[in-house]
Amino acid sequence: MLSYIIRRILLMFPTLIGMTFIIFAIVRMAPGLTTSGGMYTAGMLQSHQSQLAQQRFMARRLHLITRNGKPIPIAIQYVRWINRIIHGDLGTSIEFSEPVTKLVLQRLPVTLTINLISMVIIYLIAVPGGVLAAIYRGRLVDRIFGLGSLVLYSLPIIWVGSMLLGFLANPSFLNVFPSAGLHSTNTSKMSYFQFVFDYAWHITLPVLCLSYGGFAYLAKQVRGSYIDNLQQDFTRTARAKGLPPSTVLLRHVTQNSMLPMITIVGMTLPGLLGGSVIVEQIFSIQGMGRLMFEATYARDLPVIQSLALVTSAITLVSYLMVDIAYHMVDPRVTYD
Amino acid sequence: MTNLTAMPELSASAALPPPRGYWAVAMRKLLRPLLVKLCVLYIAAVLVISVLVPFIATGKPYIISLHTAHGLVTRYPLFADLTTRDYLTFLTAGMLIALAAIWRLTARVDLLRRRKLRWVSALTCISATVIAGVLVASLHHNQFDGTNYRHLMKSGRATGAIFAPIPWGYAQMEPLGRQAVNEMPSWRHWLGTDRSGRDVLSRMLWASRVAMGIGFVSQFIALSLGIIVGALMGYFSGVCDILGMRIVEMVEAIPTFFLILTFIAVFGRSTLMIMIILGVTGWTGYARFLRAEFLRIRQLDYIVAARASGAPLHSVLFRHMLPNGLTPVLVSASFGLAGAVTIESSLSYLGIGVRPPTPSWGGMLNAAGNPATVFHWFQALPPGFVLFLTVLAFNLVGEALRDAIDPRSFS
Amino acid sequence: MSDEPLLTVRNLQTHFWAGDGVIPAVDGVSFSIFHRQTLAIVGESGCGKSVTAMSILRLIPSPPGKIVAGEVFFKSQNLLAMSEKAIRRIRGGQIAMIFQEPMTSLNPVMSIGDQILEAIFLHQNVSPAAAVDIAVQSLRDVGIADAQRRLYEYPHQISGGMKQRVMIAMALVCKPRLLIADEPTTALDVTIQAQILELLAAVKRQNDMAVLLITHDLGIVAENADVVAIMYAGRIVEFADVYELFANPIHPYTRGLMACVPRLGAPHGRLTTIPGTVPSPASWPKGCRFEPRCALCTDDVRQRCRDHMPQLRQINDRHWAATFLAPGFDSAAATAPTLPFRRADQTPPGVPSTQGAL
Repeated sequence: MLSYIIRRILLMFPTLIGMTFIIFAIVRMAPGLTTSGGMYTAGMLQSHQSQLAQQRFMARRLHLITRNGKPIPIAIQYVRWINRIIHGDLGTSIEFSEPVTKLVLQRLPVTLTINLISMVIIYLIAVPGGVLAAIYRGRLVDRIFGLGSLVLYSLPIIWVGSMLLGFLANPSFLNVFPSAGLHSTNTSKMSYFQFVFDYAWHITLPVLCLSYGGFAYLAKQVRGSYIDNLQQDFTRTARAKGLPPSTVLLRHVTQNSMLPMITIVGMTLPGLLGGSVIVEQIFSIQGMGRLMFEATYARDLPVIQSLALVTSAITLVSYLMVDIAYHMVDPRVTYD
Repeated sequence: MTNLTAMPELSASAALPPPRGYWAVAMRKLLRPLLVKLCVLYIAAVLVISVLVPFIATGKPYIISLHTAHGLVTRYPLFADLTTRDYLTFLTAGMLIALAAIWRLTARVDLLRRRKLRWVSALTCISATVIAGVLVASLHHNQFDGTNYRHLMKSGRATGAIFAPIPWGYAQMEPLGRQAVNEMPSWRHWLGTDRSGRDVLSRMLWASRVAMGIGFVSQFIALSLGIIVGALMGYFSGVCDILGMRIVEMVEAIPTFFLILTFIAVFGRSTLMIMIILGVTGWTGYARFLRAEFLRIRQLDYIVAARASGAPLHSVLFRHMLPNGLTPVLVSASFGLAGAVTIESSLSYLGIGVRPPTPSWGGMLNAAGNPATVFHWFQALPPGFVLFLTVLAFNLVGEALRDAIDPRSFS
Repeated sequence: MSDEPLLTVRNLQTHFWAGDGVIPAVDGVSFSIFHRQTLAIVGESGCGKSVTAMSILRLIPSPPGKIVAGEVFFKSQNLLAMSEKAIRRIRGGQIAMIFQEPMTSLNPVMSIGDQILEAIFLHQNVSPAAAVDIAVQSLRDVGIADAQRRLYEYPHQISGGMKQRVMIAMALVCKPRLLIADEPTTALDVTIQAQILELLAAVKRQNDMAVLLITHDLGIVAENADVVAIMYAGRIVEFADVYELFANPIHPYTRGLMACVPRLGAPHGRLTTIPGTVPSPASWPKGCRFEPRCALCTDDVRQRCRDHMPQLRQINDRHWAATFLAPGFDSAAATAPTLPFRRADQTPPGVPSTQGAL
């Protein structure tokens, strides 16, 4: 087992290196960032950045990619970049004039919390829903469920988000939900429970927006997986033993159906991270997604590069954990 | 011996239950094909609109007679107003229709001549289109026609005008004198006007062009990349496969939306660039899928038979494996299209998609105002709904196609 | 042993709803099994033999299947009319079943021990320690060495033949009165087949139970069965004592089947086949369902075969057949054919000894 984990982690490194290189290469291709030190203006998006910050960035950039006026080979630039990352230096944001590391550490927990809450909710609703659909396979309930989940899956977040906000958090209509942020202004006066309630109140709509698509997807997967296993011979064996349907379902079928679900946990997180760019923007949540959006809008390349890196690292780690979990749960997998 | 699959009776009723599934079967038989047909019709309608929108939603009349010093002069402002992009769109659409027609018409030709006939006529058709496109692009210059024909009609300086069904261009604003900003739906503007006084319906129809264009072109790029990489991996396996899969894994490790945003920050956001970016970031799924199909098909007897009978490598690859491996990949492109349309509108909603004044459903949603303060819901409802319908239609058709080619999914 | 049959099936009809049509997979099947008897149901793929077996324990997947008519009496209880809870006590406890595919019939993510213990706890009120003892003993009974260790192993860690042994152990752990074996050896290698059949014969003797053996292999039937029912297109077409059947097959389908079996020492030539295939239920003729493929049908009975469905009719005290070709066939339907348990002294003269028989 341990040797498997070690081998799996070692196998992760080539992917990690390749992935960092892809990110590095894309950002290196940005016009205006050549060794000639030409002006960094081509195709620029409008932003709040000052001319000064812009120039500072260019100077630093030039310092990083040239030595005595001669360009440093890309490979060496890459190694130096990696070296800085290992030492915790992700560069300095142009837009915010702050170290990117600090920004990421500020924003990451916000996003991760919301995403993890969404993920738990997705699983809590989608698994029973999918199981029910599988049990009533082919009947009306299942048909409605199938169409319903496809409809949910197809609903664009931007539409649902702005409609929810427009109708449920707008003074002209129902003003029942807060429209922005994660906390009310007077959090310092609140008791612990009030604080938690206030937080829950604020994240209700964002979490709803983040989770409905994932819910529809996962429920479909659960349904498919259960139907597959309900048709398996071992299910018939279990029934022939005289087991009640509930035991057949909850023990034999569930054990086998939950294995693929573990893999899907790992797939859900990257999807949610992408969705949080939109959701955090709609609901004005100061998370990593919003940071990514602001950085893209302002063409803040150090931040973009770092965020792409951080989210990819999160993805890789979640794949790794899922793989290990799968290997621990499934007895069929051998370690040699 | 029975291939009817086991499924526990989960009802606790003691007496023999009536055979279940009648209603479900009936519903499936009636509703599902109907729904799918409706979706195909809807997609076809959106495609037709996206191609022909210059004739449907524009402020320029088809024909108008102007009173000038030389007497009555007949003009065709709508046709004069067509841009190079319009002509290229028509050419492309025409080419696709011609290709489909060639395919259909040659269906009855005998097998020996059919293959050659199809290749020759398809290549002729494509090269003719390319030549025509190059000619149009180099010879045609976009004209800017700022005339307000409606005003001319009203003031009696023109007569006999035939306007388009929706007589508003996507960037055409109501004259400043009129208080026509953020108007509710009316007879003049069927879906109201936006914050600049532009017709929402006209913009919505024009936006279908952006959505379909970006969706189809980006998926075409993604499919081409994915098919090339996937086919190479699946056919040669070995080192090629291992290397290819590592690359696929590396690209997939970066969350797609973040990758797209990185690309946009680096390369800008013209419509063409967004097509390319969505294509370049979206090929991994297709490659993975085609590779898996190939690895499965390689084992099948008829491929082994083809190779054993001495068929050369490329022949086995292109005649036997590609057509059979490709079908599920093409079907999955329907979901890819839905995803591309969603991403395009999300980018435009965030303000980092296609540039204004080019209309996009996402951009229109954004233009409906800040939902938390001044929210013009009547501007947000239609584009969002159309976006939803389009995505749903592609997903539904994709699912129906997948069910149709998958013998396992009888339920 | 007893004059009462252990299990009586009467006019069983199981239909499947597929898309737009109804498939009567089992269309009026009747038979009885006595204590310690082995009844073999023989037929081609799709003739309804497995569906018959599954219908007895009401394991038919529903939808699309449903038992539309009939009675299944087991120890004077009608299995088809009892509550779901009551039939669950019968399943595994009184009537156990083993299946064709040992590879997939065991739950891949549960240890063998867990799967056996599950059956023990379900039907017997014993302490966990005692249950483990029973499980170990049951594995030893089916000839698995090192049973203690096997309990902790998973199905993928053992071979196919071993899996079928585990299936048998699991079925026998509650001492059922009847074992339904649905093609128990079809998916196994020939050498393993023989071992499993021997094992079945041995456990049958030990446990004093009856066996309903579903198979398409006449060789297995000859070796193991006491009584044989031949099924064709959802109906039993011939029912007889095994010796009587092999000595004197009456139904043209049975005779066709027997002619298909290649024999050692037979003159060289093409293997005999039955022309055509089993007709699909949609195109079943009104009369005899075998008539379109029948090689023995003569012109004088053909019209009758086409117009009327021949019913199962007693030929002699140990033989029933449903064909107009049998001498003196006039009378209409008979009730469920039953053959009492054959004692050793009843073995007809001139028939080889029954060592391998179950």
